[in-house]
Amino acid sequence: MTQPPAYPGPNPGDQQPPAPGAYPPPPPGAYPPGAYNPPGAVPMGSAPAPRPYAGWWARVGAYLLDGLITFAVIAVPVIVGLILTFKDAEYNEFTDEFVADTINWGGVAIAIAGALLGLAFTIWNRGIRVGTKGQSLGKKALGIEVVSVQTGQFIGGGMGLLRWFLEYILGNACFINYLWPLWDDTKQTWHDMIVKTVVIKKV
Amino acid sequence: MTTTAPTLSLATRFRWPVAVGAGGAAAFIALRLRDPHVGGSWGFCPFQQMTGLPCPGCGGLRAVNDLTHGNVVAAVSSNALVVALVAVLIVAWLAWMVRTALRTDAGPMIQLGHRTGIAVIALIAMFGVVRNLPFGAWLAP
Repeated sequence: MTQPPAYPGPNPGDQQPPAPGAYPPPPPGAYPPGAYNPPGAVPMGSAPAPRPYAGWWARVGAYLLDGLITFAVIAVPVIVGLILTFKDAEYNEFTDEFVADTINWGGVAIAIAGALLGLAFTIWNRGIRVGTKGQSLGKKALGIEVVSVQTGQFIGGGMGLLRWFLEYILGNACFINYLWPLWDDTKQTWHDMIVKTVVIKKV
Repeated sequence: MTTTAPTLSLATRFRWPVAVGAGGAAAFIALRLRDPHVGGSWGFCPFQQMTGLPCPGCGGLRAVNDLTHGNVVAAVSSNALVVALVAVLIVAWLAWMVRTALRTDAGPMIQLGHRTGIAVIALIAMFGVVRNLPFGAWLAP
């Protein structure tokens, strides 16, 4: 850490002065100025206390839920497409293949369209939406969001897309990327560190 | 964060340390009962299947099995890194248990800063390279 992060850790000893605009302002009128302390905040101070990091299980739950949602989105075209493809297909036991002329290529097209739909949905849900709204649908259900370490704001669609792409690469290359928040002091994965994000509980 | 709930019961505080300890013990017992020295008994390493070379984790299960027999020398020759990791984990777990007994907010078992994390990754990668070089052959499984 060469520069103090604008998103300090939850420990009182880690408190750093936040950069201007690092946190959303408190609701007007609800608290006296300078006394805004969200639940779980440590000592009273002039700076609003940071929101706590999201737990590992919540992130796992969001990940699995996003997978289920994606499956629900693509299930009908992919399953219907595959059924149509092989419904009237003849199987040649000697070559161990289906006879090409008997395959319904319309079914193949529907199944491929379903797969492409899943890719597009994932790019939107796990990439762009995380950047623009801080949450995939799974993260929304689990009440966690992705914000920039430096600004505390959402990172924007392009960076969200980059974050998802890095997650895809790193997660497949090495599984401990997904385990890393278990022992990291700011509960970051490698793709979090590269795009400089933290996953926090949404207030 | 437990400043808001300082009166956690002992059972609640020890829930995760006990669960992690039980998980570790279960792993030891499983690796003792189903011997990883039998080829394929726990599957094959995909990296070694593809490249023919041992990865940094190869020999790790055999090393743990050797440890359950008290054979430290055999364990180190299978995977020295995993032997060191097991030692670190046991010490960290014991320290975690002590912290949990003394404090309401013991924190996680292990917490690494980013620099330490990068150093650990670098160490694992170096181990993986060296054990495949001639002068590091004694580190191969």
